[in-house]
Amino acid sequence: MTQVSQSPSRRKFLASAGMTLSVPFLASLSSKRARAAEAKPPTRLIYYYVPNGINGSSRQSFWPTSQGTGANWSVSPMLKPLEAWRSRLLLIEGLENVPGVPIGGDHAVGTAAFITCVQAFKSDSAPRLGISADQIAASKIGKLTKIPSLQLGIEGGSTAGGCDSGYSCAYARSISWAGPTTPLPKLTNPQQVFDQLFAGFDAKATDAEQARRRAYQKSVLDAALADVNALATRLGRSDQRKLEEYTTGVRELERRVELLPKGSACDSGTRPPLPMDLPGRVRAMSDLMVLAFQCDLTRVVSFMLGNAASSHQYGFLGVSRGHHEVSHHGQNPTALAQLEKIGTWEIEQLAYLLSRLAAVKEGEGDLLSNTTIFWSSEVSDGDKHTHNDLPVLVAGQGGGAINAGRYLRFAPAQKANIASLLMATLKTVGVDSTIGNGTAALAGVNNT
Amino acid sequence: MGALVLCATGVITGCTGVVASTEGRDTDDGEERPPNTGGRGGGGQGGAGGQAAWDPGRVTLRRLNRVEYNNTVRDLLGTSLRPADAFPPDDRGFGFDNLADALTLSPVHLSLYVASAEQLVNEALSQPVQRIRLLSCSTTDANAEACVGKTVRAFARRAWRRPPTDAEIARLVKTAAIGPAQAQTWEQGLALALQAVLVSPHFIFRIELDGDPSSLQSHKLTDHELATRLAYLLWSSMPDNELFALADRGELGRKEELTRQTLRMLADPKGTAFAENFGGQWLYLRKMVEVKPDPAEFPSFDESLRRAMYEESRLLFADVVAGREPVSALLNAKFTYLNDRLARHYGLPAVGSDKHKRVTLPSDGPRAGFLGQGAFLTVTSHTTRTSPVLRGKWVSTQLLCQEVPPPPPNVNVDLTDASDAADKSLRERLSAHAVGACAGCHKLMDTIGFGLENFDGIGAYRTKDGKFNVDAKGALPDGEPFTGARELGDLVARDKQFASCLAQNAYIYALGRVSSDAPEHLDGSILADLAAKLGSSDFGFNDLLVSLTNAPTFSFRRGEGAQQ
Repeated sequence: MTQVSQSPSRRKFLASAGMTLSVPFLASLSSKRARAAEAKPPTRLIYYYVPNGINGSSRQSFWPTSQGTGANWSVSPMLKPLEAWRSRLLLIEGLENVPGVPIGGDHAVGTAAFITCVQAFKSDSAPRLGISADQIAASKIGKLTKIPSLQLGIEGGSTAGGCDSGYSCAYARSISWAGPTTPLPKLTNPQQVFDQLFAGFDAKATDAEQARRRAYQKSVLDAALADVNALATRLGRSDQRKLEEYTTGVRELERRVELLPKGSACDSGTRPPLPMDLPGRVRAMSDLMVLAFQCDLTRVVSFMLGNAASSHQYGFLGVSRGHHEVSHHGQNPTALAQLEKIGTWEIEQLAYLLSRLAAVKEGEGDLLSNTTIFWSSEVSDGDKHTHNDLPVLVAGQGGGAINAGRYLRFAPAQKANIASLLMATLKTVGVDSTIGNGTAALAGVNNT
Repeated sequence: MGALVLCATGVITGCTGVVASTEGRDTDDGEERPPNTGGRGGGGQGGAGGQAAWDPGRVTLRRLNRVEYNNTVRDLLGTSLRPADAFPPDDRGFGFDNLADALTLSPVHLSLYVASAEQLVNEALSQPVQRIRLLSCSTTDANAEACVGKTVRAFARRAWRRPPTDAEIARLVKTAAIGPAQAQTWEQGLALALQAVLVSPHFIFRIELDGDPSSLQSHKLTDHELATRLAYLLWSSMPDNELFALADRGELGRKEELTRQTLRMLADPKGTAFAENFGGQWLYLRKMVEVKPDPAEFPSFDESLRRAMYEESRLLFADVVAGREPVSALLNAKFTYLNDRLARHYGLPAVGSDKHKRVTLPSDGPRAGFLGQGAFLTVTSHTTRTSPVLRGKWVSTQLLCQEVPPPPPNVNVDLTDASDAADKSLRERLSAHAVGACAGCHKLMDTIGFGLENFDGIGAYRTKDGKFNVDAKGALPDGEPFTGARELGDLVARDKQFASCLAQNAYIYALGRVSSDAPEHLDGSILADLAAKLGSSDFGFNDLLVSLTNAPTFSFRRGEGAQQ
């Protein structure tokens, strides 16, 4: 790993730029190649999960009646909060995610397949899945930033009992998987996210103090690696695999320590207070995504607005029963109206994130123009647990790689799938890769 | 649309079998005999019918879960910090958060381990009481380096739960030397070395080594590894000085000593960890902390009631685990623990205290044992109403180890919002489950749960559900009828399947791995033996734990073989 260096004047300038000001996209500091590419801002990805499907009083609550093109498609009642963003959105109807179809356990398996497009192996104690889209991206572009990818969420998870019909809780709690047996847990406390982003950075520290701190941290990690090396040859295969999870973590921290001065390139603002209510936490997480991108600390984020089959109680929307309970609506009009309220609120949260991204100018455009957000749920109808006709939004223009501003419709016979859309999102960060059951990028999404 | 339950699509199978039945196996009469007589290496065909069981199994490298991490740093440093509360939730297998294969480790864990180590060591070196535990020499005089070496050795020995090697100590002293090397103090260097001990895989994981990891030959654990298994089973924490001393002398492996230590540890105040962590998960007691009954439906539910319910069940289970009460008391105890808040909730006379007191339950009342307790009845309810399905499913899966398959795809599985709710009782609406393809599985659920309908969604007694009279007739999967929690508790307590299910749960929790029913595996005979013993009335839960810690699979393991 090459040592990071910056001219003092540049650092001073950047340090004085407040987080809410327009921060020029920061040079990725880890390689010459990245510096050479400075002319073009980096592109980023967000995979955004909402639980329990999307239901409203009728199909037209979510799906607009008119298709239209450009910014002219008319929004549905639930999409109203996104009206101002129509030209920077793709609404996509008719996508399926067949690997999400289980034998029972629809929420866990649908969530597992959310961005892996791999069918979860039925096991309560030893889950096996596949790599997720965000981790495919992180494996390619993660090394350009201090943190290869961030996993964020709102709910930790219950502390007893099964999660879903004999499927491991990992399937229900993690949409990000670094590999078939490596679910990545998410951070659900905004303060912890802040610490991950800015730990070790002290704006008042001198260069010498920073160097010393780096040496200290490195010495602890070196000791850990020495233990690993002495141990590895004495372990059996399964133990070695477990130890590798540990080693991967140590190596990633080592990279962070080496990239530590980078923290000074961006004003972190202050550590956020700990919001106790759901809207406060979702907003705090959205703000942190923007901050992480703005400071170029990571370019890949996954976010779960709840866990699979979330039982959040939306008292502030007048819904006292848990979300999952209500999502089994049985076509009851009261339940459907409540679900429409919840879904609309979820869309509002997305709109908030878009507005925050768009508020940060970058290059010729703003952060939103250099970001691609995939937004969907583990099922379409929360009652019937369907894995086709999924509610799907793609927001942002991916640095120009997304042909935004349209409402695309695919007929069921076309068998258009989520995996192909995910492949199209990866193209926006320059990654050409298949995912799960996908074979080619979904036509019409990327600008050619 | 009405309360349609579209079940009549396809035939559901798999609702008749019993998971991992252990009945009919030979019991092992030779627990003291090392299980490696024979072994795979000797030319025998593993798994061939008729061959004697020999395989003690192996548990994968196990990282400390959140509870274990917090308890360990408490006992190691005397801290009241609970750093692991901020770690990501641990995944579970078979319902337990201490199963090796389910405990994955991510880069986020590592960064939190590093941050936590720094915080803990900073506190330990600056708080006089903690500092004295760690440091018995000066880091500022001419012997500072020797002092660092001595301190690090003593600390690593406890943190790694075994004596460190000289090479390991040399490496740690080298880490500490970065203090003086950076023109800082040895004290600063010591802090780094202590952090390194806490970040090391030897602390984060419970490591058990095989002399030859590629050999399938079974071998005994070292005494230190055994001490560690005991401590994390009974205390969810590290060994104490007595265990360390016994392990140092090589005396822990003796059967009498293992028994003595098991009973000592259970009686120790830290022994409550077993009831809290095993019981918290097996009985779902931990869920009591997170349930959110709808305030509109259950206005009387508040935080004091939540705590009182948890405490009632915890105290009953602690009595059982300690052997003060028989195992069957869990299901049919004629006493319970109440404070005034809970007594009021149950409609029983006040006990005159905010603290729980042991009281005899009225013999004509509806409650006896855990199935009549608020905690169970609440954690198996929905937020607005009871769920006979969830209650029955809990009895089937947690007490009888009967797997209940999930509903088939595209079935409306909830009936709360049915438009005929005003005309039909919950029981009538759920009766749709009793016909066609649904019936096979639902007899494992609602049919049991109906028998508990005299308790509402927070466990209060009732005779009416809305305008409907409650019909609390239920039946076990084999058709045995009962009414109410008392009769259900008596039936389950007598059920052989309950004994083998409890044995299986405790066994898996104790070993940190799922049990195997392969014929060469020792698990089967041990489980059958435990189940048979549990069937006799004078065999207590404490005896179960003694049998578990004396089982050959608790003190033996093997390598993994060379190839896969």
